Amino acid sequence: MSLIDSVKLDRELKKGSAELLILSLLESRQRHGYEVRKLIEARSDGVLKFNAASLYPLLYRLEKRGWVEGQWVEKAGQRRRRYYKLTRDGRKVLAAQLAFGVVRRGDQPCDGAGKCLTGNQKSDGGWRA
Amino acid sequence: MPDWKPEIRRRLASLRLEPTREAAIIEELSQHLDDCYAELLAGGATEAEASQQTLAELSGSEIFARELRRVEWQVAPEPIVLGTNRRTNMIADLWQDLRFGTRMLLKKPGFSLIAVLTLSLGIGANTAIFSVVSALLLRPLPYRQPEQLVKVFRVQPDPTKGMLPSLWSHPRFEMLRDQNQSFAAVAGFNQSPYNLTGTDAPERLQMEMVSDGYFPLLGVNTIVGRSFTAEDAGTAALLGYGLWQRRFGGDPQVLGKAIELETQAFTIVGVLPPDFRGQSGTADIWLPMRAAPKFVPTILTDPNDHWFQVAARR
Repeated sequence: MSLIDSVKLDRELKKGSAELLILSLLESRQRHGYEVRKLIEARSDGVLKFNAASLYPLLYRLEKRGWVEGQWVEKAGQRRRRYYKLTRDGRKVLAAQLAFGVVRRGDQPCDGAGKCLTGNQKSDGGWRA
Repeated sequence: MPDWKPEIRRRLASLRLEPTREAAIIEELSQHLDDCYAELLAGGATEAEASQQTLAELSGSEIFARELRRVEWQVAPEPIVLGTNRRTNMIADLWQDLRFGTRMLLKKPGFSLIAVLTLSLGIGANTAIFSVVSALLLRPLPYRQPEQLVKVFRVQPDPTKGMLPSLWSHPRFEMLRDQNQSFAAVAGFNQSPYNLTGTDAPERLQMEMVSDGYFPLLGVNTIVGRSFTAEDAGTAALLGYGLWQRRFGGDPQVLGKAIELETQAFTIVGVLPPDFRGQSGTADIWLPMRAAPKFVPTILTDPNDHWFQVAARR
C-alpha cells in the first residue's frame, strides 16, 4: 500500500468512526454542534479533537443520509441554536454497529473534569475510540 | 465579540451554495466560534489569543470546503426519466411514468390547471373545425354521384339586392319538370315540423315532403319496404331509421302500420337508411307531395304558393 493510500484509508476510517461516534452521542437526546464537539473531546480524553471545519461537514453528511435531523430551536433569552437528533434510520444504523461491537453505547456520563458540557454527569468511562 | 461571519463566508464562497443554505451554515458556525471564544476568554486567554485560537477552528479551510462540497453537492439519485430506453417491463414503466406525471401535476396545480384549460380549448377548437371540414370536404354526401346534384332556384327581381333566389310552387315545378331539357331529373322537397298524434306520447317530428322521383334522383333506397310510387294515393309514409328504432323498436313488421301526423292517418311503407336524414340532415319522416292537400287543400294548385325547393341531377 502506498503512502497516499495509507493516508486515505486512515482518513476514511477516522471519518467512519467519527460518524458512529456522533450517532452514539445523539442517541439519548438532541445536542448542538459545539456540545457534540466538546463531548467527543472529553470522552476521548482529548485524543480526538474535531474543529468546526471537520465537525460540521460530518454532521451535514449524516443529515443528508437521513441518520440525524437538524432543527433550529429558539429558547427564551438565548440565540437560536441548531440541535441535532437521531432519526429512526440513524438509530437502526447505530444499533447495527453496536451489535457488531464497532462502538460502545455513547450515552455514558463523561468525566467530571469540566470538559463535558452536559454538566451534572459523572465520570465512569464514556465512549472510547 | 468578534464578527466571525465574514471569515466563514469567505471560506464558503467557492462553494456557491444557495443563499439560504449558506446563511444557515454561517449562522451555525458563527455560534460555534462564539462558544469557543467565550470559553477561551473564561479560561484566561486574552482577546487576541482567544480570537486567534477560535479562528483555528476554521483551519484546514480547503478540507472544510471540499468536505462541504461533497455533502452539499451530492448527486441526487438519478431521477425517473420519461421515455428512457429501458425495455425491462413496458407496463411497469408506463405505470411509473403515469405516477410520475400525476405527482408532477399535483405538485403544481396552477400549471396543471392552465395546461388542462389550454388542452381543452385546443381540442375543442380542433374538434369544431374538423367537424365542419369533415362534413364539407371529407365526408361525401350520402347520395349516388353527389357531384352531379344541384339545387334549382327561380330568380325574383329585388329592387335593392338585384335578383333573389326563390322557392317553387307546385304548378311552376310541374312546368319545370315537364319542359326540362337541362337536367336528367328534377324533384321537389320541403321540410316542416309536424306533430306525431294518435299516440300516448306525441312527438314533434321533422317531416320532409317530397315529389315523385326524389329518392331515385338522390339514389337513396329504403332498407325495409319500398319507396313512394306514382300509385300511392298520398297516404304512404316512409320512416327515418332513428324514428323506426325509437318508436317501433326496429321492428321489420312495421310495414302497413298506421301513423298519424296532425291527426291525418298515413300508412308506413318503408324505412330509410341510418345515414339519410333528408336535405336538412334532421328529417324523421317523409310524405309524398300528393299528401300536402290533406293539410293545405290548395297547396298543389295555387301557382303563387311557393313553398318548396328543387334539386336536380345534371
